[in-house]
Amino acid sequence: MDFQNVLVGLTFLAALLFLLRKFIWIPITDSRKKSLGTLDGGKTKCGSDDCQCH
Amino acid sequence: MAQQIQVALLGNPNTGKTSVFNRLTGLNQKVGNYPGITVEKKEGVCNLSRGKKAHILDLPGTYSLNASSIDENQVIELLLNKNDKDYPDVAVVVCEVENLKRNLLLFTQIKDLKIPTILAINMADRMTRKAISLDIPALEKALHTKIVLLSARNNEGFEALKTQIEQFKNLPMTPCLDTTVIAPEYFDRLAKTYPAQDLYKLWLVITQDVNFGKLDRTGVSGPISFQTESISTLKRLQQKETIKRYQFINDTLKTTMTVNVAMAKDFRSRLDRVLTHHVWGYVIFFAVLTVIFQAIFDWSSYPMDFIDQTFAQMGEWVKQNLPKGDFTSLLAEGVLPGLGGIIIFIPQIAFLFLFIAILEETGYMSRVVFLMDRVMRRFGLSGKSVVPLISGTACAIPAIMATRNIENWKERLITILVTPFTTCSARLPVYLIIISLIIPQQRVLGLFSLQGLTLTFLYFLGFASAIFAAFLLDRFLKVPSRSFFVIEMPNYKLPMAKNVLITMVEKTKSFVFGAGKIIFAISIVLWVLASYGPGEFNHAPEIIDQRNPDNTLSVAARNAAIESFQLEHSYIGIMGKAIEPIVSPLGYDWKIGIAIVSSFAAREVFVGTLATIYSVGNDDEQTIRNRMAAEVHPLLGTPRFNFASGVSLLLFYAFAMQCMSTLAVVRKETNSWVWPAGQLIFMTTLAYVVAFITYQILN
Repeated sequence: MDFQNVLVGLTFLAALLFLLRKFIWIPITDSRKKSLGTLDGGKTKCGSDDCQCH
Repeated sequence: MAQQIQVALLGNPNTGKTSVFNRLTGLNQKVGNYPGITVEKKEGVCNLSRGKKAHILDLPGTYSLNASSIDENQVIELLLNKNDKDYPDVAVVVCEVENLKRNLLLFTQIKDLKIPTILAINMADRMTRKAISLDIPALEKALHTKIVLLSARNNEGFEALKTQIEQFKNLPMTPCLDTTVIAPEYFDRLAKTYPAQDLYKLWLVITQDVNFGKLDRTGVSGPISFQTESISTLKRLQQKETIKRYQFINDTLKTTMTVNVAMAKDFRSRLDRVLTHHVWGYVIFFAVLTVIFQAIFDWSSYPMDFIDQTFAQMGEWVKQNLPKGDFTSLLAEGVLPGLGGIIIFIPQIAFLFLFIAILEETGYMSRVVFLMDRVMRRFGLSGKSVVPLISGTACAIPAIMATRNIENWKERLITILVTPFTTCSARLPVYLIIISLIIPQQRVLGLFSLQGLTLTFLYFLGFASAIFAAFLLDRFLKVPSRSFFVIEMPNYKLPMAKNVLITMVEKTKSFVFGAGKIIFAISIVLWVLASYGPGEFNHAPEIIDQRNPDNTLSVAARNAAIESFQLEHSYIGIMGKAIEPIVSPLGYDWKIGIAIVSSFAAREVFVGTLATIYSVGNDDEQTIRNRMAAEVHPLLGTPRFNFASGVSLLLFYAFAMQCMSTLAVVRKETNSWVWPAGQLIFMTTLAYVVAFITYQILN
C-alpha cells in the first residue's frame, strides 16, 4: 500500500465520520434533550444548558 | 481592552432597524442563534470616538413588550434579566417617522423599565416630502429622552446617534407612564408584597404567559400570601395599559408633530390598489415571478459556463501535474467534480436571493403576503403561512422555523407539513441541469425562454402542491380555532444596495457552505465506493480479455470496457444494482438511483453525485452537463436523460421529501417522529407514483 492509498483511506475515514456525526450522532443526541410543552400546543427544546425549560 | 457599551437595538418590524444595524456595524457583525432555540441573533461592533466601541445587539422586531411569539420573548427575556451578559447599558428604539404613533408604544414600555433609552427616528429623509414636521425639543421633553433623526438610506444622523450612545449615562431615566394608575389597588397590593421590586418589571413578569427561559424569578417567588388576579382580569389590565399608553402618545404627538396626511397617502394608496387588486394583483405577481426565473436562466449562463470550464481545467491540471496514484484520482475525479457541482450554481442562487431581497426591500413582498392571504385562508392556512411558504423558496429549514409566529397550533402544523413542497434553492441545481438537458433552448413568442418557463412552471407546481396538501390536511386535522392575520404594510421605497447585497451574500454563503461541506464529504465517499470493489472488480482486465478472445477491440475500446465493468462491479455499482429494480420503472438506471439515495442528505447532492460517478473513468467529457448528456442507455443506445426520464425526474424531485435536515427540523418543531415520518412516506410515495405515471405515459 503506497502513500497515496493511505491518504485516500484517511480522507475516506474523515468524510465518513463527518457524515455519521452530522446525520446520525447529532440528531440522536438532539432528540434526547428534554422538551417542554408551550401554551400554543407546540413543544420547545430545553437547549443544551436546559435554560429554556426553567 | 476597554469595556464595550452594550447597546440593544429595538423596534417594530419594518422600521428599518436592520438598515440602522448595518450602518452602525458595517461588516463587523455576526449572525447566530439564541441558546437552545432557533431565533436568529445578530450582533456587531460599532466604533465610537476615541477608540471606544459599542456592542450592538439587533433584537427581533416586536410591536410591544406583550409577547405572543418565541422571537418576541427574546426581547423581554433580555430586558427583564439584568444578569444576562447582553443586558443593555442603553437601548436604542428605532421608529419610523411615518408610523411614529404606533412605534412609540414599544418605546414607552422600554422607557418604563428604567433603561437609558434613545429614540432613533428613521427615514427622516421623507419628512419634507411627506410634509411631516416634528418639534424635537418638545418631544424630547415629553418623552424624557434624547432623539436622533436618522436616514439609513442617506447615511445621515449616525454620528449623532453614536454620540448619544457614548453619553448614555446622561440620559434621563424618568418613566413615561405611571403604570399603577391602571389598577391602583392591585398595584398597591403588589408593592406591599414585593417592596424591593420594580413594579413595572413585576407587572411584565406577571402578565407574560410564556416560558421565560433565562429570567431570574428568585426575587419574586418568595411570598405566597399574594392574592393574584384571574387571567382574564390580567388581560383586561394589559389592554387598559395599552390604551393609557396610546392616550399618552396621542397627547404628546398632538403638540409636537404635524402631518399632511392627504399628500402622504396618495401615491401609496393608488399603487396598493393595483398591486393588491383581486385580479391585477395576481397577474402582476405572476409576471414578476416569470421575469425573475427568466433572468435566473439568461443572466447566469455566462458565469456558470465559466465555472464549469474552470473546474474541468482544474481536474485536468491535477491529473497532469500531481504524481499518478489513487489520491490524485480522488482529487481529480471525486473532490473537484463534487465541489464543481455546487459552486456552479452560485450565480443562480445569488440571482434568486438578489430578487427576493429586492422584493422585500421595496415593500412589495408585504403586498404579496396580503394578496396571497385571501387564497391561503380557503385552504386551511393562516395569512402568516405565506411567509414560511415564500421563505421556503430559499430553504425549508428556516421557513419551518419561521412558522413559530403562527399562534394557532393546527395552522402551524399544516404549514410545517406542506412547506417542503415549495421549490427550495436546493432543488434549483437539479431542475436547472435536467431542464438544460431535456428542454430545447427555444423562445416562446420570441420573448420567453422555454427553459425559463419550465422552471416557472415547477415553482408554481411547488406552491400548488403545498396548497393542495394543506387543503387535505385541513379536512383531516379537526381543530376548530383560527388565528387572525395582521400584517404591516411598509411604505414603498427604493431598495438599498447595501442591504440587498448583504442579504444576497449571506444567503448564498450559507447555501454554499451549508451544503458544500456535505457534498464535499459525500463526493469523497462516493468516489471511494466507485473506485474500489470486491471479487471481479479486481480482475476486470482479464475478464474483458476472456470475453474478447479474438482481441478485436482497440486500446481505447478495451479501456472503456474495463472501466465500465469496474464501475458496475464496484461497491457503489453493487448497491446501485440492488436498488435498480425500484427505480427502473421511473426511467432511471442504477447511477441515477444512487444519486437519488445520496441526495437524501441534501437535494443538490444529486448533481454532485452524478458528476462524481460519471467522472470515474471518463476522460472524454469534462463538464458536468456534457458528461450527463453523453450518458447513453446500454441497450437502446439512446441518451439516458431523454424527455420521458427527464420529466419523470423533475417531477420526482418536485414532490419528494429529499432532505434529511428538513425532517430533523420537523421532528424538532413538532417534538414527534410521527409527523416527519408521515411526511416522508406521503411525499415519497406521491413522488414515486407521479414519476412512474409520467414516465410510462411519455415513454
